[in-house]
Amino acid sequence: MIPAFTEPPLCHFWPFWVLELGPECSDIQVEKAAREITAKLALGVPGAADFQAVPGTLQRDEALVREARNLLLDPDQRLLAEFWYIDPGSRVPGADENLSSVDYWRQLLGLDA
Amino acid sequence: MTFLVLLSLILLLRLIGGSGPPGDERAVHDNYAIGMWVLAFVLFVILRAFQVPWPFIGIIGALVFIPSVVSLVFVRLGWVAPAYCLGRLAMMYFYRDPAAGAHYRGFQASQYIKDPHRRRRALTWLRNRFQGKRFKIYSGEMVMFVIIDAHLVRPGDEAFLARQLRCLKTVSKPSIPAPVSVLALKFALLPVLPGWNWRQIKSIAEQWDTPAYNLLAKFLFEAAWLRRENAPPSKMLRFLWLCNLRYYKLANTAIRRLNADDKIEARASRDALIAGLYTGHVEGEESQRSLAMRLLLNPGQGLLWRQRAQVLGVPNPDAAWQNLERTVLAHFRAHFRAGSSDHALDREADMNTWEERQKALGYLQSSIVTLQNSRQKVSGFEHFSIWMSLLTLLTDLKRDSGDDVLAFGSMSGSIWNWIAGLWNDHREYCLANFMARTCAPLARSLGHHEMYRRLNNDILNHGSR
Amino acid sequence: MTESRYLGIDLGTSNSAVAVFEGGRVRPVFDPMGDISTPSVVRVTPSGIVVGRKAQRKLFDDPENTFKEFKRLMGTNTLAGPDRNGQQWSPVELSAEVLKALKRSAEESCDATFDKVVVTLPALFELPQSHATANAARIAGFQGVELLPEPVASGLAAGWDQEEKGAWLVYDLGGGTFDVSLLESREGLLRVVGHDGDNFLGGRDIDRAMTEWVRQKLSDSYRLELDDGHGDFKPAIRHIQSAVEAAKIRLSTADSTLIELEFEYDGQEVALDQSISRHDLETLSQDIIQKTIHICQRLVKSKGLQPDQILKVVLVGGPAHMPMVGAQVEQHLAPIAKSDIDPMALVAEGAALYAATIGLACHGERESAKPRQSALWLQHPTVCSDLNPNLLGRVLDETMALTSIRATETQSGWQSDKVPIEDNLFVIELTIRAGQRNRFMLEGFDQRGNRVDIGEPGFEVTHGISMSDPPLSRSIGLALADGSTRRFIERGTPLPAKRTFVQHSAESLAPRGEGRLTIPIVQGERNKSRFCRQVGELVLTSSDIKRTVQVGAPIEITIEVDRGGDLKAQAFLMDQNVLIEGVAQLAMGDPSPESLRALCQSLAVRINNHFQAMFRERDEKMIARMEPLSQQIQLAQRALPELESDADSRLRIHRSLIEIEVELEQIENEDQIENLIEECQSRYVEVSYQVESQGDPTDRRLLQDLGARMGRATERGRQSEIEKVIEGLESLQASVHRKSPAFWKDAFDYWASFIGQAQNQRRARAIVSEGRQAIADNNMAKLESLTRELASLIPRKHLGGGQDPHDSGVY
Repeated sequence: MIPAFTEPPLCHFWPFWVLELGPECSDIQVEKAAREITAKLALGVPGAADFQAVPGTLQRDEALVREARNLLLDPDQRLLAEFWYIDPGSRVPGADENLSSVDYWRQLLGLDA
Repeated sequence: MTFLVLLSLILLLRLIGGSGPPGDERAVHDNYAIGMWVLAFVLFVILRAFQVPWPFIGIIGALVFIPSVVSLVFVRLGWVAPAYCLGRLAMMYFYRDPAAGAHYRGFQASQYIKDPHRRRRALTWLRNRFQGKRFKIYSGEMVMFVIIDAHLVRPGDEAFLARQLRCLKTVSKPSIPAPVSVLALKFALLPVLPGWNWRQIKSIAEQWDTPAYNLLAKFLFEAAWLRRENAPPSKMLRFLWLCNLRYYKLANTAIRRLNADDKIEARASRDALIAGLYTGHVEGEESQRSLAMRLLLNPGQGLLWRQRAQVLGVPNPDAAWQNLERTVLAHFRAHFRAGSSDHALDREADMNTWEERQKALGYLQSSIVTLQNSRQKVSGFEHFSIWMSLLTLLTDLKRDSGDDVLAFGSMSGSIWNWIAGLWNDHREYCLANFMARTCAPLARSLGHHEMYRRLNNDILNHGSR
Repeated sequence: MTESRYLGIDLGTSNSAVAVFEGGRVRPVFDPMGDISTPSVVRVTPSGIVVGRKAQRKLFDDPENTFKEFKRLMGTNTLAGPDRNGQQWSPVELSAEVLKALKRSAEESCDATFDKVVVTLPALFELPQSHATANAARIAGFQGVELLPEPVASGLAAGWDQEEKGAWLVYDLGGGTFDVSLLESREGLLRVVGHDGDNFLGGRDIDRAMTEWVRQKLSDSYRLELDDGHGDFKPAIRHIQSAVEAAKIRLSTADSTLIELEFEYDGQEVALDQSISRHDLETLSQDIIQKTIHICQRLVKSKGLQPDQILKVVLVGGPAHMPMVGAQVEQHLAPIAKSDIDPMALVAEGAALYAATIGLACHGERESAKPRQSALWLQHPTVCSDLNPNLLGRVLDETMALTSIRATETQSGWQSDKVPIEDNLFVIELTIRAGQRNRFMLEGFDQRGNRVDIGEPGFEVTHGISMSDPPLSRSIGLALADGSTRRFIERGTPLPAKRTFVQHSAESLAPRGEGRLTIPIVQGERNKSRFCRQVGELVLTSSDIKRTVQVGAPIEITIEVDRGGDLKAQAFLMDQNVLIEGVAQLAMGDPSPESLRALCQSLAVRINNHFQAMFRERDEKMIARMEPLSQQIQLAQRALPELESDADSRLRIHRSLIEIEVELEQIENEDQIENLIEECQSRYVEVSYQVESQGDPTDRRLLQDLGARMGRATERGRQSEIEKVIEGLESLQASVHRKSPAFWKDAFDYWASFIGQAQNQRRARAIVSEGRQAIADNNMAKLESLTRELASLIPRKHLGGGQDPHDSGVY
């Protein structure tokens, strides 16, 4: 499921990340990427269900791929996705990478079992 | 002789726990646990009578008398039910509220369960223990209830749990066991630490700096206070730092951060800013909000994005740009709300949220009235969970529109009746006390002097009268 | 190599058609009579069921056993019949008979079996109607069913081989419904931008207007009064209807024609010829066509487009091909697109093309032997706009010594490289010829380069336009306890779609007992749930839970809709780890004639009252807004006699009455807000005076806050916000009043007025007499304690609940 992405906390499943495309891609590329990922998911290709995003590696399924495709084929939604696009490898800045991560602090405080 | 020993033991326990006046709930009401202690003592006498060797008695004694230590074994194994039961027996360790201790150990054990479904089932089991409880509700259990409930309702949402814990600001602290208060402090700090917002750290530390010697809270409070005074690390801070060697890295970073530049580091690039928004690590400061807004929504950007909209075949590029602006505002409203002092409801979306909250208040009010009128015996936890819903709504209203006083005014009568019913009929002194502490300032702001007087005299100062 | 075929069916109100996509192209299937379309008419004969033209011929001779236009009642519980065998027929069963007949035609034509199909339906069909259509297809023997909106299908068929880029409209005026879709083609991809329409507007409305015109003529010229509600005239009216329908078709080509009338009136044969000109027809259908043009313009505007941005309009449906429709469309919208596809088969062909693009293939061959199982599992597009699509495959038989694989196009001879197989998987980038059907064969090789037998691994890829997923016609959401709606899946969302939101329980539910908490699922665009149609519900009962569900408990609700009109929903009680699944797909209610008459009457009275008030106040702006409503209600009142006989009319009138009520309520609300603002301001002045004279600094501060709040609230004109300010002002007034000496006296009188309801009558009476004495003695302290005691003896009334007709238990 892809949530309405105007709701801030739910923006992890950004359509470009799901389809592993950049904002310069054409509609045909969107179609092709969606079709290929769906085929890979159907064939059970290892790693087909994973995609990279800013918060880390996330999971996708056929429904998510289809939603991402539909979003990118709609010019209004595509514009939004382009506006908010950043490279999935981007990280929050800071001298110490770890210091910005909640997981790091969770571990430090002993909240991680 | 044995009888005398037993009697003195019970008296001793009563003395430790005390049976103070209602409102001060430093009382040990766990008769079941007392029974277990007595049983253990009887066992010891019997073992001695049969001349069982000392080392063997020592092992049995360790097993029986140090349940808090033994329960840790089950915690590590992720066995929630045994950890919970032994936690309940750990009266020395959780002497302020052994029931909260039981939930604490159960919760700790649940965190060692790797499978998310099993963990969820374990948390549900723990949550159900509150429901089946025949005893009255005390502060420690309230804290544990909030922590367990949030893990069930919004798993992984640290900000939500921290907000819920903030609502417990007026809970009476003396009866919260130290480990529970430390756990609450950690969860409350979790969303704040990555950004090192000292103002918030200070207020959180202050909330959880209980008489239970929550040294971590004391340390952070001292650090935040020094920060405010712009003073170098004090001896007291060094001492507290030593006391918190277990949290060496955290304490060390805090001391390092004390000397860091106070200026908010501007998020230099657009990508970095968005990455922060995605991961939720954007500090809630007004100045940064305007900086970020300028970065994303300047006139030059507007022109570029309108052109791009045309290329993409968007029928109305102006409307598309307005839509983009809306999403930016939505992101920023969510991330900077905590630091915002702007109470004006100037957006349609805010107004809808406000209306939803008013509706929710209406339903809660009607449920409170129904609860009071129903003849069915309802456990303290049900009252507490409704009170938490109400409190969350009032807190949200205060934060978003400064409307908590007005909202409270529309239902103050029902709330007063509710508090009075809890105090008089259900004898839920701790919960009533917590509610009264929250409502008193609201009643005063509203000019309800009579209610304010009654809350103070009849409930809050009951013990001293 | 097994031939894949794709079946598409246009299940129309008057006529249906079927088309097959095979060998890279689509073709219509002719029925046994040699016609491209089959009338959607079913007749029960002593020897069995007859569908199509044969059945249509007996429509007037054997009306009891012959059924038509049942599609308009899809999704309702209305039953037709009983027929000669005493059996009653539901619209689903009748539609299934039509689909069976079409399936038979297609199977005979292709000498193959079909078990999957794309069936089209009007774009604005609601979920119960869509669900009923899918059910009919399943009864007809199809295992895989996908639904597609008719205008999308016709758009796909019309745009299949066109290169033009841009936005265009599909104007579909059928017998009973009108649909319009805005489509956009770009980079070989057809996208549905949006659609609109009217489920109860179609060619039949023109027929109805013509019938009415003929009756009027008969009455004026020959004094023949044919009363609609009179049973004796039914055959005569049916005859007139059939004659005007034929005349309407003739007027498409001729300037004038004769309506030949032959019927029995008062036991005598009447034979008359009534001439009618194209001009008469244009005058009669002017309003209906204007309404359709208005809907098209509304759609174009709602998507932010200017009318000149529309490249062309594709006309679909019999009535749409009336010359005057074309002329009006060209005048107000855009040029008509020329197409060589038979308009009667356009929708069915679009459905077959869509079946191909989504890979809904039927492989069954009737007589030939089953093909040998292939050793490969292939994933490739059947139709695509990309000239270099990828083929992905998995080797199913892992014992095979396959190391590489190669694809060859059989006609052009194009060959891929030998692609290595890793982990039993391979990817080949194909090259296909533009606008052509491409057949590929695969060859497998072992490590030494020797060919390996891999069964019959051939496949086809056709280059053509591909389509985005079809959109949801009306928003789906929840009816909330306060009577509002929360939209989950917005109109236009591509299907299938699934959304999850967290709502909260508005009432508590205890684990024991008979309690239930209902979560109604509704469809429609209105903010008030009573104007939306309930399409399902989730029910949480006491037996489902272990602990009490408190007011405010979070419930995570998920709604899922697929392309087959199936609605699934689940509610998850987050704090109890309890999941409730399943949803009852409710039928569309058939409103009773009495309830419709009453609704019509009450609306007419309300409109009339408003008119009177507005005339008194000379409010010309509001009069102008109210005028169309008055006209609409008069139209509805005129149509009331049709209610008894015709379920379709009942649905149509119900819909139009709801539209009138919505508009009326909006006008009333605006009026109410003005009154509220007035009340708020006068209350503020009143309270300011009291605070000045009796209030303390806290009261003054509160008044100041409320003043600021009032300013904002009146500026925005939000009713709930203004009401809250009034509530605040009242509370402040009460608080100030409480500080005055008169307060306890008033409070005492107030509670004393409820003495009859006191729990302890004797004590209550004693308190009242003591209180009177205290007032006489001016002992306010005593009066206060007496009043408190008296108040505690009066039972509290429960607060009022919501106003949700669906009895929702969530907010």
